[in-house]
Amino acid sequence: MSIPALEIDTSGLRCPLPVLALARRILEIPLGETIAMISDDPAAGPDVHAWARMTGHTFLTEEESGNGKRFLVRREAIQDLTNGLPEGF
Amino acid sequence: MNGKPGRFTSSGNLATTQSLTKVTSPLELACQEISTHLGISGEELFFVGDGPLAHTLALAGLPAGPRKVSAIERAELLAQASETLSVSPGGHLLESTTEAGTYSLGWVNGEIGSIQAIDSWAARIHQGAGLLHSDLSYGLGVLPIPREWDIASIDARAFGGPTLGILAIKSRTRWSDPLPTLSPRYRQLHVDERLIVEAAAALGAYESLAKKHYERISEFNRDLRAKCAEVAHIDVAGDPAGIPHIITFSVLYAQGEELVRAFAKEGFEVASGSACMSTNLEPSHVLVATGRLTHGNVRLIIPYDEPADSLARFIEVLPRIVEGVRLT
Repeated sequence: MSIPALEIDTSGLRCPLPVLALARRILEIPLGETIAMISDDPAAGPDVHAWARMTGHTFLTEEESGNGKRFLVRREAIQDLTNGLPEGF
Repeated sequence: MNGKPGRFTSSGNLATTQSLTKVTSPLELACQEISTHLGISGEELFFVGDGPLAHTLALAGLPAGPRKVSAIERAELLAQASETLSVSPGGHLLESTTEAGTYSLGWVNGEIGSIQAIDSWAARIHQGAGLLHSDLSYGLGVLPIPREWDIASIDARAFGGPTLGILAIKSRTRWSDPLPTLSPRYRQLHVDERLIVEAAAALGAYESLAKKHYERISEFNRDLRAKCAEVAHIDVAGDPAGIPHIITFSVLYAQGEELVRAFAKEGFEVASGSACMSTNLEPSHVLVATGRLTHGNVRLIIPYDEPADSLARFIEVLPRIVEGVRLT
């Protein structure tokens, strides 16, 4: 598995903020590259899965990390509501 | 009880199967009405304090052994599970097992409206000498009731009734009371008779409303699903072939609490299965088990007599509310 192009930590944030952060920050990496996100929100697991299904990005892996989980997602060429928005949140 | 409905004989006189001297009490009539709805005899009908207690006792009283509970059942049933059975994104049981054991499989899901084919599951489970408990709360009065379960439990609030739990225990079913108070002699112990009478009346009223407005509410369900698809990035849970009055959807990048508040401002009372609306900050296990987005969740349970203009207005305000609440 390649090293993610970007790693973000959303610990402390609650839904829908982790997924929103992921949706915005994934725009910073080139198509086909991966982003890793750490979250301690119990809703993040199901939400990252559902978000990837709804937007078309590819969910790769999910593993335990500290108090939460670390998700790996690959950026695909898709049109999302967050496309073209300023970076960060 | 043998109170069959009166009928007119050819000579025009009212004939009943009851003796003229026997007066049927409102309680007896209510019990008779509820058993008829459930397709059981009066001896198979029991009442307890509330729905969750009925669900708990129904499963707990079946013979000891593994409990296989579908992942979208109520928490009090899942708490007894030795094995949780996976469901499809539409909320249908995946396993096609005929292994022996005790199963708990609800008919209509109270959160996403999906309908489980109880009778065909019962046939498979019985083939493996298993037993089936079914929570029948949400389809009762609306759809033709399944018949082949071994024990059923119902929350009377699902059909607009009072806080009351109903247990339907087939006489062939080996069920022993986990509490000492539920013997046939004391089948209404701790339950106010008036609640049973009230529940029977509520069920009758609910059934006639559902019958009258079923098509109209089905149309609303289809229109709302179409509107959600149009607005985009809304994940509608359940299955389009589910019961029409229960519909749940999640709005991407929105907070459930904000949506509930925005709909309330427009005069709509909606619930949410999002983590931010739960006391333990956990999202709804039904949304998780069916792989749905858990944030930005809105849950509707539509009364069958909801006025047409109110339904039309809900669909009308949806895009504006979503746009106002979305964090993008």
